[in-house]
Amino acid sequence: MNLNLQILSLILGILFLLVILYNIRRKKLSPSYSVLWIVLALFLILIPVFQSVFISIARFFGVYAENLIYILLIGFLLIYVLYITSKVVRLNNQVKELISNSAILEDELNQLKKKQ
Amino acid sequence: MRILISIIAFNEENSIPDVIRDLNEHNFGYDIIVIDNASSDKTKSVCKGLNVRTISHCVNSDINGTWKTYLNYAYRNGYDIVCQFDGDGQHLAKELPKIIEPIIRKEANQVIGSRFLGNKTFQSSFVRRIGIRLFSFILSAIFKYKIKDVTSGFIAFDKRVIEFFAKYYKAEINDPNQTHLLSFFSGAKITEVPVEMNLRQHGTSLFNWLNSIIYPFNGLFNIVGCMLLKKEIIKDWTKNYES
Repeated sequence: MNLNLQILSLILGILFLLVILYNIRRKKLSPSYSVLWIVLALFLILIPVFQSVFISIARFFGVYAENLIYILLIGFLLIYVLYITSKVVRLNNQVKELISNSAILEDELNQLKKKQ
Repeated sequence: MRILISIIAFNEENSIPDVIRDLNEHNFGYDIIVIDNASSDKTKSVCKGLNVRTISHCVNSDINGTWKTYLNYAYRNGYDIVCQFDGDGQHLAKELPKIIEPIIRKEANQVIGSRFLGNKTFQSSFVRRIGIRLFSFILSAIFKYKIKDVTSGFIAFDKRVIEFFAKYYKAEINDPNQTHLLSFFSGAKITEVPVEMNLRQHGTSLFNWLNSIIYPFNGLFNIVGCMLLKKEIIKDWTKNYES
């Protein structure tokens, strides 16, 4: 792998990690949601460190090391989008339940007020 | 027998007075509520003026959100039967006993008021008819008896179905097919009776041209999703309820 690419990967990885940790401290990201992002940052940092392992994995699949990075990144993003989608569905169900409950409770409160 | 008629209204200020007058004229002794899905017009104040109990959502939660609300309401207040009734004047109050009586006679748990049985008063667009045919075919194959009008909004549920949806199945429901399938898996008996309906008086249909392309695919996915839940529903709900 090109030395410049290795340095770029290392710098990006460290920057990414710092941004995530900073945002967690400012409570803009929750740790449970950023686990996958931290994994991504570590992945970027570890590529240049364990370069020989990475290259032999790439050779095993018959691709260049650079292409393996793309494949892994796309795979990672797909997994993350799936994870986010499942969270959205959960939130959607919870919001619907809350809308319905709050409407019913509001109605009951109005009925009580009328009686008094 | 406590019976609840829930009128679903979203921006229906023009038609809802007629609907409520129609219901009041027949005076069946059923309780009436209006579920107002965060209308942006005067639906809410019109209903207050007509002295009907109105439950208003604070923000719009699609059509399936209103199902959730009236089923939860019926469950909390211990109703035996709940009927869904459109606020756009499409459904006629005189037809209500037809969909309620099979439940009172304990012949069914869920009754669909069908536009296609008996004398035809309802004509819909060609594309939509094909869609209904397709889903009617699939559901009939799963139920092993004929169901013709799968998209009708004129439905009555009994206590068993109310409890199933209010207590057990809290996830999202996107279309009527899904309701029919899920309650079928929960052990409910679903029947269809012929009813008369008005043509749509106010407002536009849920099905515009874009929806009519997407709807069939969405519907098929929903059916597959329900099939995947079948075993779980029977294991967790049907067996517990019947024992």
